[in-house]
Amino acid sequence: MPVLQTIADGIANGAILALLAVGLSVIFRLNKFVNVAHVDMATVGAYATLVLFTSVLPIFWLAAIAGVAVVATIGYLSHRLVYRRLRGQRSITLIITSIGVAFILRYLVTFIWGSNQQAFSLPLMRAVRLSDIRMSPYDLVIIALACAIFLGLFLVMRYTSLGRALRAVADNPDLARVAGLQTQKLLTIVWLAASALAGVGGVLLAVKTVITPYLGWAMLLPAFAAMIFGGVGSIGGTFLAAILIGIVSEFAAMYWLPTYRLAAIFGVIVLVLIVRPQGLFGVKAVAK
Amino acid sequence: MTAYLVAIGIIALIYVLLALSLNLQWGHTGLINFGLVAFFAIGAYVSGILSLNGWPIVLSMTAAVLAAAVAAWPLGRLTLTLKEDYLAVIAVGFSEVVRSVLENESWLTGGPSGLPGVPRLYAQAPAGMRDMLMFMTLVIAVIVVFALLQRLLRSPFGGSLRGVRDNEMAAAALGKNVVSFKTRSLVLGSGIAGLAGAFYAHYLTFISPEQFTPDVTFNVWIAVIIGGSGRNIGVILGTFLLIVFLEGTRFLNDIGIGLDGSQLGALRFILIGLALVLCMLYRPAGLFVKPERG
Amino acid sequence: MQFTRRDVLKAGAVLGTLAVASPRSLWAQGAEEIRMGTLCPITRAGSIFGPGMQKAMEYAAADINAMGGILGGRKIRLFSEDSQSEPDAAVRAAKKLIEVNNVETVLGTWSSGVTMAIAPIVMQGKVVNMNVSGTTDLRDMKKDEWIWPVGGSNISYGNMMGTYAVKQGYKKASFLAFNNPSGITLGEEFKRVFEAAGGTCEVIVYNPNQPSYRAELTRALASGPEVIALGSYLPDTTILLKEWYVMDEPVKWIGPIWAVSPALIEAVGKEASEGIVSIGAVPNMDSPAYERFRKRYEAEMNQKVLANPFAAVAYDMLASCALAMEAAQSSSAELFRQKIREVSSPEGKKVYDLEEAFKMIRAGESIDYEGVGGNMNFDETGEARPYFASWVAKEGQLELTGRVEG
Repeated sequence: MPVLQTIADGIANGAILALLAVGLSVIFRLNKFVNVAHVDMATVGAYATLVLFTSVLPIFWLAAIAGVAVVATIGYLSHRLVYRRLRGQRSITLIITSIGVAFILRYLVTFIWGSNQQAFSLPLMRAVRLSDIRMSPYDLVIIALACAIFLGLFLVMRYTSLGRALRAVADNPDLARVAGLQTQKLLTIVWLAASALAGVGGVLLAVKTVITPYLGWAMLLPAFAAMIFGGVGSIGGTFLAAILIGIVSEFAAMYWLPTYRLAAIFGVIVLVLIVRPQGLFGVKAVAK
Repeated sequence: MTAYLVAIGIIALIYVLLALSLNLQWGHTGLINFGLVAFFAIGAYVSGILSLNGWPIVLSMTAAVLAAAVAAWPLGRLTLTLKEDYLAVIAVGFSEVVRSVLENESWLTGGPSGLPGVPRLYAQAPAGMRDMLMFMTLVIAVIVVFALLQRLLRSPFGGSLRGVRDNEMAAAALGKNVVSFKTRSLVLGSGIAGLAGAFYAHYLTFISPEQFTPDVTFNVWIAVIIGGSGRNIGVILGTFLLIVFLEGTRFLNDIGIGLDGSQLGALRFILIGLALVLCMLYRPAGLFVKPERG
Repeated sequence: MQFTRRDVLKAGAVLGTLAVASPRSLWAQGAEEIRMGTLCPITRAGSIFGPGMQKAMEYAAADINAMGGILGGRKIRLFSEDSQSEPDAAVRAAKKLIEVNNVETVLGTWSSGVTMAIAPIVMQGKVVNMNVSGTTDLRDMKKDEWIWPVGGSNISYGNMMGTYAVKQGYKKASFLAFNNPSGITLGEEFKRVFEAAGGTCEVIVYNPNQPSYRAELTRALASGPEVIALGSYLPDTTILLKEWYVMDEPVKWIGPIWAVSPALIEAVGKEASEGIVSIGAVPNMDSPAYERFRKRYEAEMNQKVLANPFAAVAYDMLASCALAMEAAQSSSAELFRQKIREVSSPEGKKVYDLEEAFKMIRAGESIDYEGVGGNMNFDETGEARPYFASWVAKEGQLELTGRVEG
């Protein structure tokens, strides 16, 4: 059934989007600004992995892990050196700053590698058949990886003391500090993790497509969309929202017009937000 | 050289109109309008299409302003339900949807190929004079808009807007219809953005959807924030500074830094990014306001 | 440190004075030099092509200067700007080149939007523009010998691809078009030619920068076509082919040389690219001048010449202008533009080597400069109609299979 295939394709795209959007969402919740440079972390992740893969770490998954570690560090540094110094400022100040950081990252990559596309030399594989659906083995891995990561995130947030601490800081940072929680350390962990996730998203995106300096930037709007659709700060919400966005986009392309993918996404989101302004799983207090 | 400066001046003044529009919406009403370019585009296309169909430019530009203003109304309604950061994202989505429509509905808009041959303002004037006349017209337009806005902002309406910006709940408690004020601010601001778009179309004489991406919105935001929002003078200066920086880095080529073409291009943008970050770190209130206003 | 309004105004005044007072003294190196401007897409959409195009023009200028310059020893000085592939920025860049740098040419624009936007400025400023834009609006425009499209228009590409497909005997086709003037015009012309010969063709337009084109590809394959033709660019073509390989549906592929290039084959590998056909304006591959250019370019730019079909043409742009200047005995655009057609049209003696071409012109002979990138034969409207050829990917290499004639 072609509809099932469309859904499956949408899920594969949504899985990557989820990885890109969740960090954005969490940073927004904790630091109260939309980090426009977040998607460019994905780009950096892809390039970092490329460098390692083609030089010292020719085993792909090792290079990918190392590449992601590089991105996590860069993300952390951006927090430490830049954003943290702007704490307490209006969110627009931070947004503009993140636009500056995005420029720096994206054009640094362009400076070093140029605008020509790069690619991981990984073997091409034919689709595997799962009853009526054909899926690329890479897509299956991507979906499995995304599910595993999100499950892990969910478990950490729900069942560990780290998760509890993070939720406390998110809900009420002042109270959390007073209660003795090491907000700084927690923020560090969040920035490392969020950036790492963006890096993973970037590597997976690069595996699926090609590596250009605009790799992550092209996903900015869908990532924004997933963030607010899911409800800012909600990990499960972001995941579900991203999957839904992937599916809506694929349906729009199949049955309406491929050039109206984004219009369809935003149309659906606006309709949902009118009914549920906080997004799918957002905290009611965040909206009006 | 003068012709070059006049050309820069024209673009700068068009951006000043956009900045004034944004300053009304953000600086005075606190709305994070990330969809500004949508109204710029609507103004450009409405005036472009109508004038290509024989309408006199004065009429087509008026229609452009009205169309942009009206288009802002639904966004205003959405402020009823959505928190400002959500609205910001929806706004940028809106601007991309507008661009999609411009690209797809080629029967109306020329599609991706755009609209060439949009009639110029002062078409009868000799070529050299034309740009100068355009420049002067824009100066007048900016002065008029500026004066009107100053007047408006000093009136009770302006006070209410600032009340809404600073403390929405208090404003509502005082009986102000918050949504109505926000909508009016959006509508007025968007009308100004539409005017800017109309001027743009009649200056370049060629418009296409690729010229109306969110980058334009971000540029205007940068000008407003760097200039120091809230004060129209600051915003105007910020716009000029932005243009100077965008254009000034071009002259790096002439000084010949000895870098490859594409590296030079990338370097320009790295410098712009660096400047943004530094400005926000050390002068978050903007360059043209007193520093204590944080 | 506090910036007062006064400080800013003071700084502005200083800058302004400098800017106005200095053009001749600061930037002029000598009255004898010939100033030529280039405006290539160094960043953003066209950035795969722009740097190479600019580099090729730098080669041409360097070569000519090494030969002793033109018009009695005058050297060429290049002023290069980045169009950013955007009409807005390009207009300002063009104005700067024309008004501040006082160039005689603005060469190398690629994006149709850019060329269309600077056209009025170029004509007003009385400079020569040569471009590789494909829009048909250029064909209809009154160019008055100021504006010269040399790359082969989108219509000619679509036409050649359609002709090739018809010759192969295909009856059912799909066309995947990038959502921009190039892709869409290519698609419309392909469809016209293909259907005029009795076939059926469906055109599907797609947006760039997507993580996947599954739906678009599925739609293209839905009608069971024998061939899918492309009006696309390298990154999206790469993704499309990769996804097609996954789907494993039998179909043939045809695309334009800038997308179906050695870089594509490198990205998708031998297996996925086997048999894909590339159609493009053919450079003068038999000429030793081309071979010299190719070696030099590929060594320095790390990009195959075939992957950037506009680079070789860019060399010819500058060369043609210089030859026309020599023929007109003037560096003024108003005068030499009238000689452009003359130095590269079939009436003269064919010459591929630049140095020889200059010798011949100085000797008063009539020449047909065939260049490295193409034939540079301009028709009555000022558009170059390059020769077209087809290539096929075999075992990871693009092999020339012959000329395509319309």
